[in-house]
Amino acid sequence: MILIISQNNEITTTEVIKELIAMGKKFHRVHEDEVFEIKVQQKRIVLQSARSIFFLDEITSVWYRRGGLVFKRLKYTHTAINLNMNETQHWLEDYVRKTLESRKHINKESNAHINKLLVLDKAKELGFDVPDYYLAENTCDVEIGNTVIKTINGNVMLEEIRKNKGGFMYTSVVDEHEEGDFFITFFQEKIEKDFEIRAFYLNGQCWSMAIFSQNDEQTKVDFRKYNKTRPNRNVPYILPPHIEGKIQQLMNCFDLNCGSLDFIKKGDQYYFLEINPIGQFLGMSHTCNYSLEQKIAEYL
Amino acid sequence: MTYFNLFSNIMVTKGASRILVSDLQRNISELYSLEFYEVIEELRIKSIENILENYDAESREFIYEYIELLLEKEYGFVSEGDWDRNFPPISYEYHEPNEITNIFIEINNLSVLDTIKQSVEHLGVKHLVIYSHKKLSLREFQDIELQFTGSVLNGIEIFSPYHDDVDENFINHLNQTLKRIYGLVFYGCAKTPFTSGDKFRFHVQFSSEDLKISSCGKVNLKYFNTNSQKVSEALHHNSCLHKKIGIDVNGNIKNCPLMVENFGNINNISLEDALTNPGFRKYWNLTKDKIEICRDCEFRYICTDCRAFTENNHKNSEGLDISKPLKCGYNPYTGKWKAGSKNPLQQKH
Amino acid sequence: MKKLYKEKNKLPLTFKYIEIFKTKNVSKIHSSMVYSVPSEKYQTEYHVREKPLKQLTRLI
Repeated sequence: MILIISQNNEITTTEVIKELIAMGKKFHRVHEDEVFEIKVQQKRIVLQSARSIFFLDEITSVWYRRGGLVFKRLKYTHTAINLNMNETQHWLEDYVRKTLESRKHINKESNAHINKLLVLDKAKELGFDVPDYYLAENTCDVEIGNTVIKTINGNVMLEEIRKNKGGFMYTSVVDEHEEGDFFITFFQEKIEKDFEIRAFYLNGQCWSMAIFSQNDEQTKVDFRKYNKTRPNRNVPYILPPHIEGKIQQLMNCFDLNCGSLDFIKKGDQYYFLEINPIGQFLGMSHTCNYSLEQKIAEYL
Repeated sequence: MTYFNLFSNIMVTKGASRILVSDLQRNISELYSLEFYEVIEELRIKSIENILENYDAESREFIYEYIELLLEKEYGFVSEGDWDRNFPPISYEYHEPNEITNIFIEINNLSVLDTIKQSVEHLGVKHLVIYSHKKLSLREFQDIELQFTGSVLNGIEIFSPYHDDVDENFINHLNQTLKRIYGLVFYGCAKTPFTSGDKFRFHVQFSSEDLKISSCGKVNLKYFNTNSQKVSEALHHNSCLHKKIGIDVNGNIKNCPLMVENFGNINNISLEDALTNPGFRKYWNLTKDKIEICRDCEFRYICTDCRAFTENNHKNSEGLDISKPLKCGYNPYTGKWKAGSKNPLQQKH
Repeated sequence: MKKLYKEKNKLPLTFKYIEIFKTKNVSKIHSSMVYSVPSEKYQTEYHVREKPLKQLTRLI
């Protein structure tokens, strides 16, 4: 049986499930708010929550999509006992998690988020063209107008940054010098691109899409600022074999078998930007008719 | 040398008298002349400079204008030296994992829905369209919603006769409780009870026509839509009957409630069993390209076919009806619609 | 930036360029709104209610 670790409200998961059903594959979907107890029945480990119950050994493959497995941790009044039981429970949970991650899988909870800085260093090492990047606490060395800043973490959204308002930290061009110092910020050379490329990688194969965001002022610097009235032109694209080869190497370095990779195309060069291990791919799948949901279901 | 690359999600459909250029990403289709088609085809095989060489100064202006148009609409881009071979064509394969996408059922009472409920789940049906002969009360609408709680259905549309209870209050009530229903059409409504605007969770329509189920099968502009899913289905399958089940008022299981051939009755067999009958799917792959007259029409991939009402004057070697839909007033050879057929408002009641 | 957000500690320059958007739910209701309904088979309470991509019937 296939275990899908996801969220209740996740359309991509539902689309993959439709494919699994068509293929006659059994599955169980776990929601983000489930709390599991580890139990044993006739020498077999059982995971049980309010809506789920399954044997650990009946899981043949795991798709980590969102959320995660949450376990109930019992607390004890006696400090020494609590400490001891905490450790015991930790190792049981660890056994369950690692056993599941050792089965056939697409993504893992343990590496669903990766360090962008390490990825860039490794990409450079493997021979990818990477726009010059550096960290800085002030704008002294920054080329104004020719440099962009990005978040170091993967999350560009801040909820409730002000009352009833959220905030997006899109990639932005540094348009003026800043007085004084600030917290370490990630700076990168701005590349005047022909277009961008998003590649979906699964187990050695790549499916790519070209995104023409250049002509639209709104999306020029960060195409995620979607223009709903006149969407960017998105079309299928084929990356050259040497790039796809390096992609596989890079993904292997981080023990990832699935994820989205972003590139900038300028002239004959492909500039690597970043990896997103559990990004959205449904849009690309529909626009380019790649049937990625089917590919995922086939692999599981 | 410069080359023009047409984006792969721009589809050009050639008709007898003009062409349709469909932007399958932005979901818009526009009509152009056959001359434009010739230019687009030339751009596929020759460089821009090569093409211009063959025209005199005056005609070159037109070519420039066409290329400007293509670029302005973002239908393509220009590359140096050669076409950019990294841009592959899109595969227009139609993939749908669920066995049946929609059911059109004609009912006299709601109990029938109970009979097909389980089959709806097994087949992964996405949409259910109900045509009711009898007037439905507030309670009955809510019962339909309840019948399909927890279902695989993405949406339900209901056609039913108008009656005096259906006022703004009635609809407001339904607005509170109906979740899966996306559309309500009340027919036989002499005077629209109130202007609905678009302020409910579902769309509401009042039609003065006393719609019969045989009113179906209309072909006109308002029923055309451009999107890649619809088009890829139309390229490979029958745009109406593919993955559809029709059930008539007597419970007979058909491709469409208005067709004659039936494959069993819901009181005796399940929908899944009816599907196993090899004849059930025989129209599923009959595309517009195989239908007389439609095969020469530029609209053939964005319109919806109808096999229930046809001119009934052509059959293919397998005995399938390949005649043009009766209710289509468009003549692709002249590029004209029969008076009153293009705009539904002009149609006589 | 730390002044903008009344923070004691320094913030990265990215906070200067944040794009603010309203999160208050637009209370306007219309037929194309995204609604979710439960589906047992797909094991979710957020199955999307949506109109079909093509006209399924053409009665009117």
